[in-house]
Amino acid sequence: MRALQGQTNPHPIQVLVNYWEIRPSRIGAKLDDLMRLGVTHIASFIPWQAVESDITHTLSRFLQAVSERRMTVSLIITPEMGVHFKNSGIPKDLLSKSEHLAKHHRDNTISVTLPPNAFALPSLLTQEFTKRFSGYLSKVDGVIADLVRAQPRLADALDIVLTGSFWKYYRAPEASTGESFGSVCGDFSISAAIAFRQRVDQAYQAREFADPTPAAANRWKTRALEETNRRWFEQQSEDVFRLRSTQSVRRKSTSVSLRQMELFTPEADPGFAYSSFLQLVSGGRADFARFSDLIDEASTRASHVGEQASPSYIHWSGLGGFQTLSDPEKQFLMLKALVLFSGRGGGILVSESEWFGLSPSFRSRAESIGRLMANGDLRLRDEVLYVAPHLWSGAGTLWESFVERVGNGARLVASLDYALACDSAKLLIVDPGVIITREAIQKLLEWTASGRIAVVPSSPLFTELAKAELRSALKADPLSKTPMALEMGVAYLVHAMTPSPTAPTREPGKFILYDLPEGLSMHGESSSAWRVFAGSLIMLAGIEAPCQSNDARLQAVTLSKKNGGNAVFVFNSTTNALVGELTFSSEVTVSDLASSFAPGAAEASQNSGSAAAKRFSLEVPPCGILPVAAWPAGSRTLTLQTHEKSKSEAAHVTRPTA
Amino acid sequence: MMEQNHDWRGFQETFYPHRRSMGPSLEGKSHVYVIVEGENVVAAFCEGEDLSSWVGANLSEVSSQVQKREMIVLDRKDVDQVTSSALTLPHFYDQVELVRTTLKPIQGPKPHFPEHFLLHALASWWSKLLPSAFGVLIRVQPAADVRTKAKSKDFFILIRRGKLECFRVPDLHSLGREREDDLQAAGKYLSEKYLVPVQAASVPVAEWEEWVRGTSPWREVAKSLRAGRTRLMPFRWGTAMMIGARAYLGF
Repeated sequence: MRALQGQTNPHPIQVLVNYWEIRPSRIGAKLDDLMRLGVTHIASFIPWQAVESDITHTLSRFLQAVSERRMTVSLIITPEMGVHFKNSGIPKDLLSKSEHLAKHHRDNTISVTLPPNAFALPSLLTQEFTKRFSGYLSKVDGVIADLVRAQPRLADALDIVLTGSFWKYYRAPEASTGESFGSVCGDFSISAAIAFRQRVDQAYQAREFADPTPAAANRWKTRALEETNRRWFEQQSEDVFRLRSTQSVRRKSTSVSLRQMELFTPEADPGFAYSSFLQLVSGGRADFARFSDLIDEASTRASHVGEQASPSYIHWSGLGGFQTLSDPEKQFLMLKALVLFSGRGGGILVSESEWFGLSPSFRSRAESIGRLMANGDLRLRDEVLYVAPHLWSGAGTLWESFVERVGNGARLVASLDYALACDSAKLLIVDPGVIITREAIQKLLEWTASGRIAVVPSSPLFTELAKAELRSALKADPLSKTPMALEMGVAYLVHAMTPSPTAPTREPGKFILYDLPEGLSMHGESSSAWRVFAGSLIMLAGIEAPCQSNDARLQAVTLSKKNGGNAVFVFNSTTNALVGELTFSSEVTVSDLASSFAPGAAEASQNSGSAAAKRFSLEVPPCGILPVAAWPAGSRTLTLQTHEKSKSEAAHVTRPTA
Repeated sequence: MMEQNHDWRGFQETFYPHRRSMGPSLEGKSHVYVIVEGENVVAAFCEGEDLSSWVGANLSEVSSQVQKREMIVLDRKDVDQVTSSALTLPHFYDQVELVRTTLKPIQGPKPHFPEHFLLHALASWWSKLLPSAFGVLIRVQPAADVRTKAKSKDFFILIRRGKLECFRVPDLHSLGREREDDLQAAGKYLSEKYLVPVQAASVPVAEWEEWVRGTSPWREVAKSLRAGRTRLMPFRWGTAMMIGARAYLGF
């Protein structure tokens, strides 16, 4: 398994050029135009319907033209939102029957109001869909395999991309307007209900759940565990869908590289649906602040497919509300998404018209940030991982407490494999809703053996085998025999664990078991107890936000620099200029980010003779993004650049404050 | 190019070109839109404002915060119902039109949407005089100083029985390079292709964008026609008179 933090992505900015939108006779000229503009890699959706009706072999012509020009292309083949094709490419007959449509937890269909036409999302769990989709994937696999067989060098020019499709959008708009991923996510249609019962029966037939007697399996199927099972089922269904899709396109075209991607289209999010509706009715500009919030929310989720990471991309389709925004607003959203997503191996996917509609100076600036990310010069580190049963459903107060305290350093995952592959996180918390199996305990012990902290609930969701595994591990470890009992909002026991000889640190790991007292819910009055608990864990792990802003409207995102120090991006998502202060956890000097990558920049900063400080004042213009390099010693006072040349004319002097 | 009869991107670029600057705040002028479930605010929208803090609040609470502006309150069930009834329509323009015409607020005036002047005119009394099916080819000419670099942009709409049936960038390549630029030839070609009469019009980009944003553009259209900056191909007196009626008689 590859370490996630070591991964870099050569294409953090992907320009979307849909092959079916180009006249066949113009394909070559179009690609030449793109090359003249410096684009050597593009992405294209393959709409399902287009494959079924592509009698002109446009795809093969397109791929051949790409290969001839030594360009590369990512072909996104999973049905996605924001595809400029009727019903996002889904065959009409799969949407014509109500029993084929997905339903959210409030028993309504889920409409996507994005051009070229609004439609209701299909259920990905119906037999009809599964059968047809499998046929479509096989056809794509066959077409690509034939092409590569005829022209082997095509294999170097393209990669197939599989995405998470519609799963994350199965949410009720009315429950998602406040916080997009705060509500229940899942398909509650009849087909899904049938699949749910079948999968639950099947899963609990496993030996682990039938211990000590086969009748014990029934306790996992009770009504009390309905919500737990639902979340498990939703996650499992998505995982199965993605794994099956992967297998379907690996049958013939084995020489073509295949990548997983998590694509999120904010314009299609149910949390944006009513805002989008009102914007359409009023004829106004879309809700910029909501877009900005959606980027933040999506950046906290990390998906994982089998043993492969699935880096997240934000897709700006230019079809919905995004198109109505002003250039400064668009630039802000693109750069924010670029920093938050490409810092973790993902990036942005932007329609060609949107990208080239923006100024060359902005594009050049975004590309230079993209290059830093692609080279691995800047990384956004995961500090805290929160393991939830379902990636796209709300996770309650404990999770929110970590986001409040650690900001972008906190990530919600649904896979322990992701956690094990992540080498930067120090703290891993398991949500009380996670079913804990023996395998999960083994992975958690592996985590603590690397000198890190695992926080696990003493919940009734332990299997008997998991309990036995944990008991014997704690008994066998000499350090864990005298656990420390603490009560910080919630009572918990800290077991020190001996690190493995290969661990990066000699510090003992910690296995923490926390109580779930009766009546302590994840919401309402109990929230302060969870906040105190989260705070104590963060202290125990020695996690400290390297930089914070004194104004909640100014968001400071810290990335670690390969050549030392940190890069801080300060985002002002308001339409007013803001003056605020940045507070660092230790004394630093700050400098212009771009010049901080020059050879000897660190030494220059040390020798600059300026006083180091912990606090710096700054002014950020409306929709402005201020990048700052922070060095652990020395001090400099500089005028910092903003995301537009015109804006840099306003004074943005960062200076130490008393 | 695969047949794409509903080219939304081209449609937006032609009929609703976006504003590049943030522009002045509309605070105090624009309506505030709210979707409620019972008394609870489910969503709130006002251009250029962040009303996210309203979500979950009581309607009476937020009403007191709105001064000098009208609040348009919609019921969530009505919104869901009108949205789902629109799903049966073939494309986004028709879907949005249905929503706009059928939606009834439970409080405040009916939302007024600033429609594109040409689409509005085609759906007005003009439709009684125009044939039941016809096409319009708009050729937006680039500014004179960049003419050598930029190409004109064509967009074609087909209206049948008062409904927008097709909107797309026309594929004129079979006309040949030279004849593609000939507006009359392009109109004739599309007329033969779609078997409907086609009115082609060539418009300078600056004027076209100004008309889109203006409140009463028809007078400007008429002036541009008279000055020869805008050309109709073929020139039909009937069309010119309809434009004149809108420009000088106001209907």
